[in-house]
Amino acid sequence: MSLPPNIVDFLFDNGNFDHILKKIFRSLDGNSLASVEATSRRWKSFIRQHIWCDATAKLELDEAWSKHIPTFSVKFHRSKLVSLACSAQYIVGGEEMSDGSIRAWDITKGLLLKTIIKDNKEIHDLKVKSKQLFFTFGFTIMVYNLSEGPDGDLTAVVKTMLVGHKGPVLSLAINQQQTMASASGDKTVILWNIKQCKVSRTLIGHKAIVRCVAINQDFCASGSFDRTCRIWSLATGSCVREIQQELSVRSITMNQYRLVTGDTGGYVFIWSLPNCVDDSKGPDKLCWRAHNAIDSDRPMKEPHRAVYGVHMENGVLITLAGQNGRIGVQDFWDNIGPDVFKLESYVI
Amino acid sequence: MPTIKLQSSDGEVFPVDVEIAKQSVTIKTMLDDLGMEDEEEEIVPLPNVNAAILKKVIQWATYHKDDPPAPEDDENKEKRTDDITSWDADFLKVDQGTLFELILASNYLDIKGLLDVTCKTVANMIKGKTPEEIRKTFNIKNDFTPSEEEQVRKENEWCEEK
Repeated sequence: MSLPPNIVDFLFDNGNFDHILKKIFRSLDGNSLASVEATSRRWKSFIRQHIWCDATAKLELDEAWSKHIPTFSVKFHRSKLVSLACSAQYIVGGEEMSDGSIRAWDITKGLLLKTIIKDNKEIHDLKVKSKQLFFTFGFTIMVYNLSEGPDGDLTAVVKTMLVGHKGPVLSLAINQQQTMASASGDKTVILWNIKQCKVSRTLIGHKAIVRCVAINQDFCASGSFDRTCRIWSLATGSCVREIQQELSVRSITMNQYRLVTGDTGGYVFIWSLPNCVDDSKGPDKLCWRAHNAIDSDRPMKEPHRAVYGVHMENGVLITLAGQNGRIGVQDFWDNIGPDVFKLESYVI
Repeated sequence: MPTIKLQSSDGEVFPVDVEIAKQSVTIKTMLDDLGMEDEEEEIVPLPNVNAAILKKVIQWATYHKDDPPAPEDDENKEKRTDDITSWDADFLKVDQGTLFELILASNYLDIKGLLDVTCKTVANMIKGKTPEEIRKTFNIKNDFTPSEEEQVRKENEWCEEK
């Protein structure tokens, strides 16, 4: 047998050896795969088609990805931590089960600043924006003004209550233009003008409860227990993309470029937003990657172990998953804020 | 110990212990299907494997004859490439052509353990290298235009370590 110019090209040419190529490429880490992609057109298209866009391959890649997956993680709540919000100064976390509280921590020192609410059993989500705290409260949304004292203490005062949903409010998201989206058990998403505290639009289409919502300048994305994620245009209120998922969508976040969803099986998916809103792109062009947020060493779905929250801040992805309120911080994006890494000093 | 005779593509015949040969699922199936009896002097032709490679494969299979059967690929199993034993690593210190023929032979003969370790060896040849180094290693022609190359680099920026 005469030898081909290079062994991998021979495997490509033959066409029957895809399983061997996959075996080789799937044991590579992310950086090496990126290098492989950059060698030639043929290698790039193979990696794109069979590695990035192949669901099985994604599971297998988990091991290889481990050096990108949690930089550190902390367990710090005694019970299920259901929501998390960050600002430049602090992280606010809301609990559902045991003492149902909202607490705020200093983001750089990891110190508990204040317990804002206690014994509230209906907090599904909370957000901090422009010194205001928004949290879900039954069928309504509460708005608190936050202010800091000279010696760093934090005070919280009720401002108003937003009424409009016909079911429990489950998730909140606010963009830079002061539009807030709220997802509800009434299967709708409401867009609010938070300056005027008024309803600006109701988004109708999901077939089950809308469990999570995200918003940016142009779009709103909602995840539902109907196992879809919908992307809506803020300008028209119409649904521009419906992404079918294997499991219910439990958490969601987005920026200009990426959409991140967490499912009820412990998996986090990272989607290309520009592709999602471009209707010429097929469903195989949407997902960048996926990984297990609960335990990066276990590349499998785990029933009843949902990803309760995903959050992007300064290019860092923070996930909140599992029964024990595990927080994972991943650094695979640019602009890593030095402050964020001091999170590891968390002690409760 | 019963033996069978394996014939390479270039006609050389290798007597091999049946238990060793059965590490190849292809040979095992052949023997089971044909109901070959131990005492029969059957020759099993292997038209896709030459003598030099068959010799290497038999050497590998002989060393690994007491290994537990390779586990099925499952999602639980860790994908590692740094767990190649030193014997295997020495065994696979061969030129790329030979390594490649071993991959094809283990694929044809369906010897999972050997296919795994040879694929891992190729993966290790890629790991941690720059695109240019990979091109050199595998003799790949760079057919990207400069702007395409820039595009690929940009798309993968999030992979790069700080």
